[in-house]
Order: sequence, then C-alpha cells, then structure tokens
Amino acid sequence: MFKKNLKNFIILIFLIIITTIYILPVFWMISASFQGQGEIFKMPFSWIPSNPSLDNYQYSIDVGGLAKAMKVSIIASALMIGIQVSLSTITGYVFCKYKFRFKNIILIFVLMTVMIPIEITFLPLFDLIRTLKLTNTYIGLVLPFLYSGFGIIYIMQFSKYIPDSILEAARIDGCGNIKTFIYVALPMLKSAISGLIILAFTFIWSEFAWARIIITKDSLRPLSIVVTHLSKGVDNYVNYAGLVAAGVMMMGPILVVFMLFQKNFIKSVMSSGVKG
Amino acid sequence: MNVLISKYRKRKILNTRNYRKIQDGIFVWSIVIPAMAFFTLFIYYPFFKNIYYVFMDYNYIKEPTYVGLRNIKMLFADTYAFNALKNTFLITFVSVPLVLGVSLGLSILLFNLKKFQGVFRSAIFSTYLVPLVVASIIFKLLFGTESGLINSLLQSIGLNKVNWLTNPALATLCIIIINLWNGTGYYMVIFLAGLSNIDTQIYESAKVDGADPFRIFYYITLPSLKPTLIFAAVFATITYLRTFVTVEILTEGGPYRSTETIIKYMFDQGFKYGNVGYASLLALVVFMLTLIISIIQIKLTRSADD
Amino acid sequence: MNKILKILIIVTLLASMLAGCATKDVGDATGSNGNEETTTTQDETNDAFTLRISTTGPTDDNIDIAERIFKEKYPNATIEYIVSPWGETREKQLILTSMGDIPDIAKTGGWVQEFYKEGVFDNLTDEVMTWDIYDKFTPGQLERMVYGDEICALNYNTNTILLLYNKDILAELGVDVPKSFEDLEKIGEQIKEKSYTNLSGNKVFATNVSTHPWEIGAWIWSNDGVFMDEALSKTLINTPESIKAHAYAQSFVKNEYAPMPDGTMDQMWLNGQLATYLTGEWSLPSTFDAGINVGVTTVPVGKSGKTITSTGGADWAVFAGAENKKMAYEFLKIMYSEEFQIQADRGVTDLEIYNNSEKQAFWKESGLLEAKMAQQEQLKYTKYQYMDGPYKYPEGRSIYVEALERLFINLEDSETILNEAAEKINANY
Repeated sequence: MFKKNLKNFIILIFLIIITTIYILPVFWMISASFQGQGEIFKMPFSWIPSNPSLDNYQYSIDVGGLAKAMKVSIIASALMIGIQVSLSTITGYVFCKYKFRFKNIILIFVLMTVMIPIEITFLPLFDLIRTLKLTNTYIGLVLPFLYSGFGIIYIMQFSKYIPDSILEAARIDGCGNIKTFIYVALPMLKSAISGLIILAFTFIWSEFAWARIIITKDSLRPLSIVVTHLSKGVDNYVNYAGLVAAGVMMMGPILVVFMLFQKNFIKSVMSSGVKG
Repeated sequence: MNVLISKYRKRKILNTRNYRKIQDGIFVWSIVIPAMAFFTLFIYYPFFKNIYYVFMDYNYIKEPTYVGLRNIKMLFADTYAFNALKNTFLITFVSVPLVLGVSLGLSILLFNLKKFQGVFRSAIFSTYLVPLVVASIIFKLLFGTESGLINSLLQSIGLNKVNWLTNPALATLCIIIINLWNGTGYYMVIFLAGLSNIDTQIYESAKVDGADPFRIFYYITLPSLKPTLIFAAVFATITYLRTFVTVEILTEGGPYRSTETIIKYMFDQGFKYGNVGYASLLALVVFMLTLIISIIQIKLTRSADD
Repeated sequence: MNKILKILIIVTLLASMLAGCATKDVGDATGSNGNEETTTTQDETNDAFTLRISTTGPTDDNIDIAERIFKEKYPNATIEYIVSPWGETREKQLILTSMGDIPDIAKTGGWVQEFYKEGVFDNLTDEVMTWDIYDKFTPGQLERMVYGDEICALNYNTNTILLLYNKDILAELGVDVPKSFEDLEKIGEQIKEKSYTNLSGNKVFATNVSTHPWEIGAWIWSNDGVFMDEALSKTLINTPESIKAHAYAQSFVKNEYAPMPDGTMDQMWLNGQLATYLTGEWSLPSTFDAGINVGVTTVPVGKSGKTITSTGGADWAVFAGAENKKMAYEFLKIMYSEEFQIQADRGVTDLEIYNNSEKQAFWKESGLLEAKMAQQEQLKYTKYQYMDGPYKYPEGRSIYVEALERLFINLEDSETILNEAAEKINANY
C-alpha cells in the first residue's frame, strides 16, 4: 500500500518538474506580454512584471489588426475543420473496413500525398484558384486542406480497433452502410475524432504559407499572418513585446478548444473498448 | 398477412449478396472517388508541374526555357546541397527517436495518473500551440550567449556560459530542442488516443497475474500501440525532414551553413536566387528520400511482427 | 456520438454561412464614386480608377497622408493596398508578377535592380528628372536608385547606421564619446583593465560587429576597404585593403571588445551590456523604454579619417506592366513634396527638411532630435551596399555572409576566407 503511494508520489513529482520546464517559455511569453519593449530584456528577468501594462495588447489590436484577424481565423478554421474531419473520418473508415478493387494502389496514392512537401503545390494551385476567382475568399483559403491524407490514414489506423464482429452484427440487423457508420462506427471513433479535431485546428490556426499567397486584402488576413507580420514588421525592427502579446492571443482559442475536447479522452478511458 | 410476408421477403432481398455488393460498391466509390479527384487536382497536378520545372530555367518572371539535364548535373556538383542533406539527416534522426520517446514516456505516465490529468495534458499541449514562428523567436532570445535567459540560469547554478548559437554542433542541438519542445504535446495527444483504445481488461488480468510494470509495458502496451507508433514515427520523420521555419528564424542557416536544412536551401534557391528549376529538383529529391525512408520504416516494423 | 455529429454539422453550416456573407461584403473593394464632373482640365481625373500598391501596411510610411493628399486632387481615385510583411514583400511581388496580376506601385528594399533587370519595373529617369527632389538626392541615395544610368527606384525615408552610446557606462569608465575606431579600442581596453561589468554582473563590451552586409559596410568602408569595382563587374573584398579592414573588425572580437554576433545584439544593448551600439534610429523606441541614458552621434572614423555607411530606407518603384503609370507617378510625387515630408513623421528623404523648424520641434518632443541631426550628418557620407542585394548573382550575398560568419564566429584567417569567397562570387559574373 505504502509502496504504491510512494511510487505514485514520485511519478507526480517527476511530472511536475518536467511540465514546469516545458512551460517556462510559455510563462515567459505571458509575463513578457505585459512588459515594455525595453523591460523584457533586462537581466535578471522579472517574472512578475513590475509595471504590468496592456500596451502590447493594445498595440497588437490597433497596429496588428488582431481582432479582425481573430474573426477571420475562427470562421476559416470552423469551415476547414468541419469539412476536413468529416471527410477524413468517413474516408478513413471506408479504407479500413471495406475491400475494393485497387485498394492497395489507392492506399499508396493517398499515403504519398502526405510525403509530398505541400509547399511546392502552392504556386501551381494559386494559378488555379486565381482563374476560379477564389482569391481573397474563405473557400480559397481552406480549399487545399479539405481532404487530408494524414487525417484519412489517422482514422484508418484507429478504425482498426473497431471489431468486425460489431459491424457484421449491425448489418445483420438490417443497417445500411451509412447507418452502420453513424450509429456503430462513429461512437467508437470518438477519441480519434477528438484528436483529429484538435490536430486539424492547430494546423489551420497557425497555417500561413498558403494564406499569405492567397490573401492580399487587409481585412481578410488570418491570425497567423498578422502575428508573423508583427515579427517581420514594417522595417528592420522587431517589436518583441508586441509580438509576444499577439502570440499569447493567438494561443488562447486553441487552448480553450483543447481543454473542452480533452474530456472526450477521459470519457473513453473510463469505458472499456468492447461492451457486450 | 400480406404485409408480414412482404416484409420478410424484403429483408431477404436486402440481404442477398448481390444487392449488398452493389450497395457497398456505391457507398465505397462515392467516398473514394471524390477523395481521389481532390488529390489528383490539388496535389498531383502541382507535383507533376514541379517535375516539368526541373528541366527548365525559370525565375518566376520570365517564361521558362528548356535546359535539359542542366539542373540535375548541377546537383551532383553542389557541395551546399550535400551539406544541407547531411544537416537535415542529423536533425531528423536525432529528433524522431527523442521526440517520440519523450512523448510516449510522458503519455504513459499521464495515462496511469488518477488526478490532475487534464492539467498536465493542457500544460504540455500548450507548448505545441505556440506558433512555430513565435516559438523560434522566443528561443532565439533565450539562447543568446551573453544576454539569454538560459545562460543566466546556468550561471546562477554556477555553470559556464554556453555559446548556443555560435557553435555549429550546439546550434543544431538548439533546433532539435525546439523540435522536442514544440512536438511533445502533439505526439502525446496521438499516443494518448492510442492508449485509450487498449482494452483495460487485458491490463486487469495481467495485474491479477502479478506482472510488473516493465513486463506489462513490453508485452502488452507496446504491441498494442504498434499501429500508432508506426504512424507517429513515419509522420515525425516526414515532418522533421522538412524542418524550415525554426532554422530560418533561429540561425538563418548559420553559423556558416551548419544548420541549413534542405528545405531552407530549396526555398532560397527558388525564391531568392531565381533558380526555380533547381529548387523543384531539390523538392523532388526530398520527396523521394521521404518515400524511401518511410517505406524502410514500415517494412522494418512489419518484419519484426510475429 | 450523435452529439459530435450534430455539433460538427452545425458548426460547418454556420461557418459556411458566415464565410459566404463575409466574402460578399469584403469582395468588392474596387467600388468607385463614379461622379461625372465637368470642371477639371484633364479627362483622366474624371474617370474612377484604382491604384494598387504593394506595401507593408495601409498606414506604414505615412502612406495614408499621401493617400489623403492624393484624393484631394483626384476624388475619384481608390487606393488598394496589397499587404505583406516586410520580410515577404519581395516574394509577394514575385508571385504577383509571375501570375500576371501586376500592381502599380511597389515598396522595395534592395531588390529593385534585380527586378528591373528582368523588366519588371519601369524606367523612371525621364519622369523623376522633372521633380524638385531630383537635385537634392545625395550621391549615396542615387547610387541605390539606379541601374547603370537609369533610375529605377525612388529612395524613401533614408536612414543609415549611427553610433548609439550608453552615457552611464562611458561616464563610469571615464571616457569621452568615441570619435574614431581607435577610441572604441581604447574603451574595450578600459573595460578589460577594470574588469567592468554592469549592475547585474553581466559582461560589457565596447561595441558590436555584424554578419549582415548592410551593417558591416560601416566598418569596412570607414577603414579603407571596398566591396565592388566601379563597373560592378567583380567583387573586391579580397584586395589587401579590404582584407585589412575585415581583419581589423575581427580583432575586436578576438580581443573581446565586441561579442561574437549571434543575433541577440539588441537584447545585449537593452540590457546595458554594450557601451556603444552601431545601429539605426529604429532601435531608439525600445532604448527609451529600457530607460537607457542614450546619446547618438555619427559613426566613428577610421584611420584615414573617413566615416562611410550604407544607404538605407526603402525604395518605391513602379511596375512596368502597371495599368495606371501616370497616376502612379503623381502619387509618388506627392510623397516627395515638401508639404508631405513635413507632415509625415517618417518620410524624410530630402536632407534639407531636417533643418525645418517645425520638424525639429516635433523631434525634440519625442526625444529624437539628437539622433536625427546625427543622421543628417551621416547621410552625407553613404554608399550603396551592393553586396546586400547583388542583382547579377543573388547567391553572392549568402556566400559573403558565410565568410563574415567564419570571420567573426570561427575566427578564421581573413585572407584565406575572403579569397575563397571572392573566387566563388566572381566565378558567377
């Protein structure tokens, strides 16, 4: 009994130490965001700001245009995640559980898309999008990401954990393919889907390589562009304090989403894999 | 009476092989074909256009002109390209096991924790949420030789200053550290999802049988995580072979090109020096290397299977 | 599970709706006033037109003041800004050109000649020669604006490297404001002799070197080195004088008068670890914020009494394929008028405006007067740093940067390194 508690205690301490080391830079960011441009470089660094001010946040909102960018990012992300997660889930499920002709080749086809450095696809794509007159639109912004080879394979892997016996049972009960998918497969893929939502969200939230090519209107720039703009700035100078504040504001929404969705992890841990 | 009989017949028809086959077929292809179409248009078309550029001299301004194998010949004589490849391999083959190992260890510890799981998870995941650009800028400040936070912390414990960014080996280490810092949260999420899919009943019976933690880990956890592990390993390799943002901001390829990765070199060639053809060739090389390495990884882990 | 599905569907639908609405109201920025007036002298000013400018922001460089003045003259004009971060503006213009989506005006920074060579930018010589500002450009500014004999860009908000010094540190060391590089050496020696550290016990240095070609120009030129020959046909970084100048800069690092450059010089200065800092006026806001007792003067002179630095600022160019060249010229002309330069807090290109009493009062209030006066003096002695944007062989810059890194970080022999670099660069001319 004692041994077990001691073991757990040691693990806890260990975790606390590691986690603290990891979040030190994040603390630095948060602390620095309340300090002035010159203050943040004074050594030793004052972890608790001596005169905390919201100037940096003001700067990011006024000069950086953060509020508008936040709106753009939220809409674009919601659009992209909704479509991509849905498509990836059903496609991944089909790849896993169904046999069809050319399956292996198609699988390799999809796998390879993950390996192609996506940056090289952007310029030819831009030409295409431009002809379709979709530049500076939300659709244009998320179009290259609607299907994700990564997402499909991710769901495919997790679909392997769904026992075929359950699917068979559903069939015999008279469920069509779609019904089987919605009522049987989806619940079992919950943790995988939650994971995918989080990963997709963080991807699109900080995606800027495509956005900077396709968006030229000031009002439609997503958060990632605005934050990188603050870092590369108007001229030679980088306003580190402003940048850090913008970075903190950028992290906020995703952290909230993560904290909301991670409960699904806990739920699926509580219930064991196969019921009845 | 009539109603009952036709219902039964309906079911019979619904369950006949052919009908199901057609139904399945429609279902499958209506899902697979749009996906194929998307990838062909959005990924393979640009990819082949890139191959076309390999044989051209193009600088994004003038029309491309045909130059045959010139770019390929240039590649064989290019010491900078080989240097970039060497650096990239070094960074990748250290980062992948490091990041996966740490993430796996952390996720297992967290998984078995009763309380505060959410707090730790969110804390570590928050490091992934810092956009890589911002993270690189911050670490650049932290790693400053004379004025960085890390060195001043080291000095306060009585150790010497370390010139993180001016020593080639240490600069590479800094890139790897950023990879580790930024990536742990990400892979932790993937591993936690994988762990949560393992049937807890197996754990229960193992504990009842009196197995110790290490044996449980080796014989039960690892094999069950195999698909997740392979997936994470391949994905991590692909990601780190393409290290670019961190290098661009932290060291700009320095000191004297010792941290220049192949993708950074590719970007410079294409956008800064106007050698789009050569850059396309480099992109192709990266793709082929990624493919080969991934295939090797998958084959190795498959053959170790029972 | 149903819940997740429902949530996902609702979210997607909502997002699509918002996306659809948003694109509608953001989509049409090219609306025009369409008033038909009959009283103006030129027909063009009646028609509505759009001027497209590739720059870093709609209020950067006081372009909004120019827009206001422009619209007073041409009320039917619309200005569309194609915005990109400064570090990516060149790539943006490259992509736009490549796609045939050509704007009218471009803000550039050293890649003008490269683009001009390919026919992307317009030849401005005839137009600019009729402007008042033309006679007021310094040789250093003109050097940066031409390709051969043709003017292809207009230098703007000209700035350069200055010497910022920390008055407190100099006072504690008991030295005067350094006027020559030798003075800087003496400061370094004083620091070593007294084992001087700042309040928190950090090491202090006399000054800084740099691995950026634009910044190192101050060291090399002032100490009799050169970068290119007159015809810009080959690099001369390996002449005996140039090698000596580079070695001289290297000696500062060897003797610990300057730290090894690792990209954190700003932080060191703000932390009070540099007695003097070779940088531009852009470092002043954070310097004030850090509470440093700062003074600004011109760059120290070398052994032969010269002080030469690189011409800075940004440059405006007009696209050769622009739809509205005439209006583009009109717009740019405004930014060089006296009226504009006095109003704009950034836009001083004409050195004479530095003497304007209104401007001086404004600078005095913001504490920038000393810096601006020093800059006015220093701007008389600037040259165009070709190595920062070598249009004949762009990769030459990174070869030179690598050489500088080997010199200042790895402390290798200057003769060997510079000869190697020069060979590689010249092989491509």
